[in-house]
Amino acid sequence: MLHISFEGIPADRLTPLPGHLAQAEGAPLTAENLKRSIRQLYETGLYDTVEVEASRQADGVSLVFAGTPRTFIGTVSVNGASGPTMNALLQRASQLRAGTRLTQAKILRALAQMRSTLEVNGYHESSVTQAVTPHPEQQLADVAFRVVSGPRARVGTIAVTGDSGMSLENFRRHAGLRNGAHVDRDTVNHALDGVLRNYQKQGRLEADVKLESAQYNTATKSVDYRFSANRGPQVKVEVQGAAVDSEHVKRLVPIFQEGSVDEDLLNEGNRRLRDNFQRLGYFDAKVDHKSQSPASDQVDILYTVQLGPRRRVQKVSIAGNRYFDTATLMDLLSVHPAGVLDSHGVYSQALVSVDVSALEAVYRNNGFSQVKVTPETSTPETVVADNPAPAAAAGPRTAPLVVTYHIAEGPQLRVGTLTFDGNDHIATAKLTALLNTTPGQMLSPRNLAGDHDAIVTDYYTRGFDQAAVTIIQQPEASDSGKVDVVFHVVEGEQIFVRNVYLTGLEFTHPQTVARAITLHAGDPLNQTALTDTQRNLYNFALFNEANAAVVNPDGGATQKTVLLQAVEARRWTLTYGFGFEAQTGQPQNNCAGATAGGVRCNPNGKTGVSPRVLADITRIGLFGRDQSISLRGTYGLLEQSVGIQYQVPHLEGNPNFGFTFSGGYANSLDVSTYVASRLEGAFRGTENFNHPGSWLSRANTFVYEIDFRRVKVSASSLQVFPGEISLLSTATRVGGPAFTWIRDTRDVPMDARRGTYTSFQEFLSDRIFGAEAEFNRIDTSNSSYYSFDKGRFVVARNTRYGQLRAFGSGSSSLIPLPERFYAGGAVSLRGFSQNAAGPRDPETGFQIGGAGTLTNSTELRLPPPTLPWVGNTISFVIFHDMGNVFTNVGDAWASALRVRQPDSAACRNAVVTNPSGYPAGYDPTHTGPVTSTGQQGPCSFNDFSHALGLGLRYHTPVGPIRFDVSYNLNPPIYPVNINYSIPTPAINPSGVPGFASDPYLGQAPHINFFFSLGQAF
Amino acid sequence: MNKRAPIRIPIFSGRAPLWLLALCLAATAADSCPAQSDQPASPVVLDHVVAVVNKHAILASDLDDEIRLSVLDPNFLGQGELTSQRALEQLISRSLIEQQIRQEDMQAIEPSQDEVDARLDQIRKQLPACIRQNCATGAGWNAFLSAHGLTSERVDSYLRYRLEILSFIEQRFRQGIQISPQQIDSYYHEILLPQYAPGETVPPLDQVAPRIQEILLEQQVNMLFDAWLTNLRGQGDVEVLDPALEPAPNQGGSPVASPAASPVASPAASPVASPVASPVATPVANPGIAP
Repeated sequence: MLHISFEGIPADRLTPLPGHLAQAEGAPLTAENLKRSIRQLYETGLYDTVEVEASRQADGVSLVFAGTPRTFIGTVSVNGASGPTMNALLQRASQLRAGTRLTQAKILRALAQMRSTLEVNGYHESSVTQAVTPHPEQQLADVAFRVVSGPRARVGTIAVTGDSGMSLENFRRHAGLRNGAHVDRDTVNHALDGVLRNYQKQGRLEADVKLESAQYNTATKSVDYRFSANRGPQVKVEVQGAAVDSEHVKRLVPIFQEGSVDEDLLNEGNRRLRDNFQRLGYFDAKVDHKSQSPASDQVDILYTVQLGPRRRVQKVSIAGNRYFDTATLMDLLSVHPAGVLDSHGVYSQALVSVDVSALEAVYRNNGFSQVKVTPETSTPETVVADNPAPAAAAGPRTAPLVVTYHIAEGPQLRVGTLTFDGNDHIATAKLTALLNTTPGQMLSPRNLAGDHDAIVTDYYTRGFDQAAVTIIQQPEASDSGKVDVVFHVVEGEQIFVRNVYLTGLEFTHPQTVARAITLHAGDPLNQTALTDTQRNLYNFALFNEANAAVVNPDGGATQKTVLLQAVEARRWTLTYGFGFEAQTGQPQNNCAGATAGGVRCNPNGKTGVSPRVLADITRIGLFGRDQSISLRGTYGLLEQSVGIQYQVPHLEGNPNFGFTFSGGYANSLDVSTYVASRLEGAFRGTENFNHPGSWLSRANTFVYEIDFRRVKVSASSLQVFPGEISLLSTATRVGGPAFTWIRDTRDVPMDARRGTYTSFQEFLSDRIFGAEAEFNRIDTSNSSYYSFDKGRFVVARNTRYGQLRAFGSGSSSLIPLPERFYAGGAVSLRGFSQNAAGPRDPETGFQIGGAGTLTNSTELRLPPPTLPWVGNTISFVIFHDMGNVFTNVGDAWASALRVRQPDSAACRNAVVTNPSGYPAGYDPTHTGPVTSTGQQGPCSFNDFSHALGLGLRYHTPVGPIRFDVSYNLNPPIYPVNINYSIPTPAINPSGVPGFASDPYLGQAPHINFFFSLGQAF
Repeated sequence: MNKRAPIRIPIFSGRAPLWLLALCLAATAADSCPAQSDQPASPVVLDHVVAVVNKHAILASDLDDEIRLSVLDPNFLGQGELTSQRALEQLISRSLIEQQIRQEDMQAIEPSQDEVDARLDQIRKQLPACIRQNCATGAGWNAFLSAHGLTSERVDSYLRYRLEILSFIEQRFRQGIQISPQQIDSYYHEILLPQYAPGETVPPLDQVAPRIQEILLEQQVNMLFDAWLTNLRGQGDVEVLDPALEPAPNQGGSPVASPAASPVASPAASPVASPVASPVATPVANPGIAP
């Protein structure tokens, strides 16, 4: 009887191999089976050595497979190195990859590479020691390197050999090798670059500068460098036959970028120059070059350009297309005819080639494997682009160019049958469901490639990390138009997770991150889950790094340990920044002071720039959990604030729930009328719907809030009728519950092309919650985005409706100024300056906000034209904004069709023309009703203001930079009887400023501009 | 790891094959086994890993096998028995080549049974050791195999394997090599002619040109092959676990230095050269090239 046992590595760790060894227990013992068994065990990757021992027992033979367990790299840490990034740099230099085999040779190599890295960074007297901490139960060992950097070397002597053409002092200056300067890893590169740059400035493009040696001098703690420098000849590039400025030549001829001269680069210069002139309309441009050396120290390169006539691309057409319509194919073309913004069109032979490739690719992806596209450039002497030699000229060479792409589609191949083989572990039906390709569909290489990836990914997610899929296409015998497709799968072994080993949690509680780990022991080793786990860990914002590694990645063992190595981020962070806003109608307060300072002041604000600085100090990982607290402040001309926030983004690790406590104090000048201060506190709970199967899609977010704030308007800043200052400047407590629903289906939030964005906010301020002002506020907004003409144009729309209803009595029925609705500005009604729309104080003309708002903005976002120099990074927008802010909610809808200010004569008549009796006895007998926003004057603002505008968008990776100019078609007029820009006379310091001393009829400006980041909505 | 001290069977010096020992251990009739097996309490190491080539384990039994099969290789004639170090070097090189064949998925190079039979026939008729035992006859061949612990199946698979590797090298390196008339002319005048004594009849260039071309071709193949194998070994991960098998300093781990590296021009111990009839001899060794 044959008995088998294992030593070194327990049998359970080898599972399921012990049951599948070639030499089975109880089976006859053969040398071949023993060999295969040893190899099977060794291929698990778990052994360093394996041997098989045999001994005779009473009941037969006992075989023992004994081996030395292999040790794998666990965590690798580097500490003690000088410099903020040196530890991380050295860790990378060690090339010790977690999960891979640890050997003495690797440690020695790591030490050598770390020392080399230290030397490159100027640390020549460093010492590196290592400590290896084994974890035998996991077959892992942590490697900790301790670095003592020692003194940092300084730049010592410099020696230069060769024909440098400069003094040693000049060389040192251009190389930036200041004597005594610290050496770092960039020292040599900067030196070489600096000297080469200097040579290039002299036109010595063939200059050669090399570091020959860098010797560390222990006595002086400095590095002595020895360079070789040969300046080479001066290279002069001249373009003959066309006017091109030298900077442009440097951009087009690549010898300047490459810093060397060879025939390939010069020929590339030919092509680039030709393409450049062709783009400018010289479609027949020919460029050649020749180089000569008139002296040993000089190389002259002469580009000769034959421009030919300047023409325009009159027409670009496509012929022979039956499967695709012409418009679809035209979208793919780079060559295009002259237009409004481009008087010559775009044409070059290179672009024609690009077009041919694009057209052929789209056909091939739709089953036309034999498609052939032939470009034809028709001129008076028809020239085929592939054969640029024209026939004899037969007409004026300035004739417009007509480019035609002739398409020979060929037969369209369709998919015959779809079959799988080799898929032993995944049912064919499941795999078929992943495919885009279906029988009868056109044969698309792109779809097949996508299907291949989908199948492989599916196998990867099930632990088949060696799965390979080959697509075999066989023409159908019975139908030459069909191709049978076979997905041949080689599954490989299915790998399972033995256990998950998380390291690096020094301050973070393990329970905090437990829910983020989506891989568990016994699961198939799902590469997607591994990536998800990494992402989840990063989402905590607690870690600088979250690395995942599989132990024994190349081994054949089917149970593998997963290493998760987190590197905790600094718990305290300080961030600060600077910003500014630029616009017309910037809120402007303290008009009297401004006027005294020589600045004009009126209710429409001023054109200006408002700088601001921001600072934020945050402590993350409070109590070892996913919680943070931050203190942030802003200081600017328009706002000063300080706030504190305690945030739990994932309640008990649940990605769908989070909450925030916040509080702070802010002083802000959002409206010219007043400076408001706000002391507030809020509790905010957020619910997301990220889980599959949630009752709402993940586009939805609910926010539940309890808000308390004390709002106050500074009496000294308030520029309303003096009789109301006392009432309006009273500090008021506002508080109550709020609910917000957000639904966001936009494709790209910063620059959406499709989708919608909806927000609905309800806030109730009631005495029950300790409020002094009682009102209900609903603020809702909806944006939608539609693209058409193959996505080139986008129509974007935003509608906002808001209503405030006061229900208190007495003073509690007056809605405090800062709680009212305002509109106007870069992200609102662009026909007005910042918050300048709506009702105004009947005596001063300053904005006082309203209880209702209804606005609508519509934009047509145009496709970016191809412009000289900027390419297609700039696009334009045409917009129309309309709406207003209204005293009463009910006025909003009633005013929607009104384009003129109602009863404008009353506004005009409200201007005081006979200020007798001022100030004593003055009584602004307002004729309007008393509302939740105070007593109204004779002037009504219940109309829809319309503005047309043009915007420019400069597209950047972080979103578009925006410049909008608007023209308000019907800006409102308003009386100004109390002119705050006239200082209060010294003889009557308690009097009304500027009352009736300079009354006038004001009007909001027609033109406004705004400069900001991101689309308006 | 091992709490006991197992007896290591000196597999390289003994002539008893490992599998026989194993079978003896398994047998219940103790009297049919060699003397070593009469120690029921002492564990015996039957096999173990001696080297690793890119995760492929080379076992002690592989070395034993290689040494026994070396009797089929005429290149070792007069050089004594193949040492375990040299055998390991051969196995390492062969493993690298085999892995490359698998990697390049070169299925077309598998030799036919006829080719294997032809090579076997050559061995039986031309290998000196075999001739002495009258291998041409079935009884003689069986006696030869038995004397060296071999079986006809093992020899068959061994020859098939070597032919496969040789075919791979031919396919990989020979194609694309061009020998110019100038090279042939240069070889004729600078290398061949100086080897003839004054007055000796020298074959005309036209007559020996095809042969010279073949020689130059083989030299080129060898050069490319050596460089390729050196590169493979440099890139690969080769680990010798048994210190006793580490190559001696002057023997080196370089496949170029190893006889296993040269498939053609250095036929000795080549894993890939024809075990019997090296297709070409160097002109230095055979200056009188027969027309």
